Amino acid sequence: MQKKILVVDDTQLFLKLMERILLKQGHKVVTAADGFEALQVLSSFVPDVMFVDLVMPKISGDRLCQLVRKMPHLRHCRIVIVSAAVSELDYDYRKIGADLCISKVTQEGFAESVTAAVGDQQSDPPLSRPNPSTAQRRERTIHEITHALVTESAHQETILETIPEGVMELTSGIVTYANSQAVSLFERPLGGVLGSSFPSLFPETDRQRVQMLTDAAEKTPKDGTEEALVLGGREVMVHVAAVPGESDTHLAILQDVTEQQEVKRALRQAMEHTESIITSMAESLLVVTADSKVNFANPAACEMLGYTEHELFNYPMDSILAGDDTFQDAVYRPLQQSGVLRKPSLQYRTRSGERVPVSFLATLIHDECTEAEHRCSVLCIAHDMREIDRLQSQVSQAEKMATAGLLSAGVAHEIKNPLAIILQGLDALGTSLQRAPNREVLLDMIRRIRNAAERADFIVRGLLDFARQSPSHFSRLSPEALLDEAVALVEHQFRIQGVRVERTYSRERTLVRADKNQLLQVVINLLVNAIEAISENGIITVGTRLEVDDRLGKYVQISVSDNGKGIPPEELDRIFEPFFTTKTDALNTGLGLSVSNGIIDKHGGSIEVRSEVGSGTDVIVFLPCE
Amino acid sequence: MMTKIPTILVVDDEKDFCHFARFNLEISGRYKVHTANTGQRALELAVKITPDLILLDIMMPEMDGFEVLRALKESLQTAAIPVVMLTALEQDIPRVLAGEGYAQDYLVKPIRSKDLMAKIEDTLAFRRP
Repeated sequence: MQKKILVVDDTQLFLKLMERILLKQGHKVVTAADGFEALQVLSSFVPDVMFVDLVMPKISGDRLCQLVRKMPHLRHCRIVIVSAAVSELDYDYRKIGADLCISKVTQEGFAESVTAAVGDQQSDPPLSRPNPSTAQRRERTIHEITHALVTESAHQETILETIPEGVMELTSGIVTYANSQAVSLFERPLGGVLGSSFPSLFPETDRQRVQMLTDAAEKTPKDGTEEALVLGGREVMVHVAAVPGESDTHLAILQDVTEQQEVKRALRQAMEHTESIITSMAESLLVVTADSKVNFANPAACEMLGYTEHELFNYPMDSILAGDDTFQDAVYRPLQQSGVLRKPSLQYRTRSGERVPVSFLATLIHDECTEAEHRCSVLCIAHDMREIDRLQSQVSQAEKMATAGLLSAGVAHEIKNPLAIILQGLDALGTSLQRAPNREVLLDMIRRIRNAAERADFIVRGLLDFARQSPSHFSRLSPEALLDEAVALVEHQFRIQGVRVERTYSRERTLVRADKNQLLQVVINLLVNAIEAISENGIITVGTRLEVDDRLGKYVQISVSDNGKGIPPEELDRIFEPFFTTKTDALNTGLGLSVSNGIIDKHGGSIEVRSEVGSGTDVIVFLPCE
Repeated sequence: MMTKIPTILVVDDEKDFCHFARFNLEISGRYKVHTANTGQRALELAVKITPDLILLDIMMPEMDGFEVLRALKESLQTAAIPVVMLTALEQDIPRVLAGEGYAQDYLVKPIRSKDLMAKIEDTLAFRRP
């Protein structure tokens, strides 16, 4: 029965031999010089039997077998491996999809072996044993070379199956080899990969790029995709390299970079996130090195200071701090002890020389290399207080006017008393002049009248001074002197209410840095509250006390205490809330304590209220000392 | 025939006011004037001299005018003495009028001395049978 037979071998002589044997038996024979040629033949010729040499250029025999086995139309084709060394190698030809294996080491019995292989028998034909006596030397050499090549091929195969990258061999753009890693990336069986054109394995949109890679591989051997391609949900970098010496063969390396890309993306996202926070935050952010140089500035810092980021780089921090203190003295050294430094009223100097009040917070930036040298950088966060200051001063002023209104009733009374003296005095003066003027008596009258007039003036001036809106001005002042001044301003109120004032001042005197007008406002506010809390025969105690705290340093407690009705706990919780008030008169804004709290906060201090219903209230203002 | 001139007690913590009121009232030759600068002192003097009229300032430290007034009215020796309240605060007027009924009249500071004397005359005339 005539069969269609394909013989693939790179030895012209061997092809001739096979052709002769098979033609003699009446079969139809086609030959191919290598695996690639064989593949081309197979596209139009469907053989019943294929004889395949193992060691061939371009596409080796085993690979060709694997390819053929994946082609449905060659399902019934019998594949016979013809090799010089297989018999000794325990070569498992079945693994590559071949049906038989015969040796070509010896010519004796070879024709029979071929004939048997073509036959329909399912059993293996007897392998021709190598005959050592015939043409021994030549055959030994061939035998050894083939042995070496097959061994090396198996070796390479193992390597290719173990590496994480997908490796593919392309011949004229057709996939002729793919390791399992490469195959798994394409989500189709090996058969769907082998024999296909390389670009066609990729999604439509990427094919042109892949084709270009292959085309460009000749010129730039190590070029790859710059961006990853998407293959079945995985991200893959594709590199195509020409194989030197084999003009039409390329190697394609496929790197699954999905995890890498995900990590990269997550990292980039985290960095972008952090960066967008830093960029969009309203606070000015400066990173300052241990030697007082600006190392980083965010946009808010650049805008506030009027410099570009570039100009701020390496800019001396001492030139940004508006005070006399250096960065080392004011920030760096204190930070070494505390780790965090808060300065609620610091000033930055802008490019134009303007001083910007900022609420300042500094922390050490700990990183391994700088920490080892004790030269940590400092993160300086500054909040521009100009707008807040403006609003706060408006509210504060409104509240002050309300207090002034409250005080003015008392003031009116206090003025009417000297006026009464003046009127009576002038009448007395008039009468005296009409009758018998006595110089001494007249001078005494004038003195008393002048005293009364001056007293009226003093009272009015005190009120007007208090009510006047004055720009923020910090100076060193004595807390006791300030308390005395505040008490003097509300003294008439005390007299109206019959309140007694007691003073318990600290023996040790100190100075605080404060805005006098603002601090006066706080104390008067506390005094007015105390007056309102107490009934007749109340006692208001104003006092100062010096304390030293490990954390806060030296500070002074300014207290205003009363023995009035006290504040119930549920009201005590809300006492600093703006507009919270239990009073109903029109002059009460409910802003007093909230404004006071704001002012004291700006001074770097705090207010504490302790109260018990029925026994009185203590308000304590804590202020840091100079 | 010599009529006994009325005795006026001026009570005010403002010493200079007392000084000038006394000067103006006495120089008219119509009154004899005593002064007190505290409520306590006023009560003592009221008992001691039994004045014909008391000018009593409301706003005083410790014992204020209303307390003094109450004490005066509670004592038999002084209950009959007419009292004119002195105040610098308009807010006090309703309290004087509702005035626990004790005060005869009131005056709002500051006042000219002729107005002061007119008020004293009115009050004394009302008291005279």
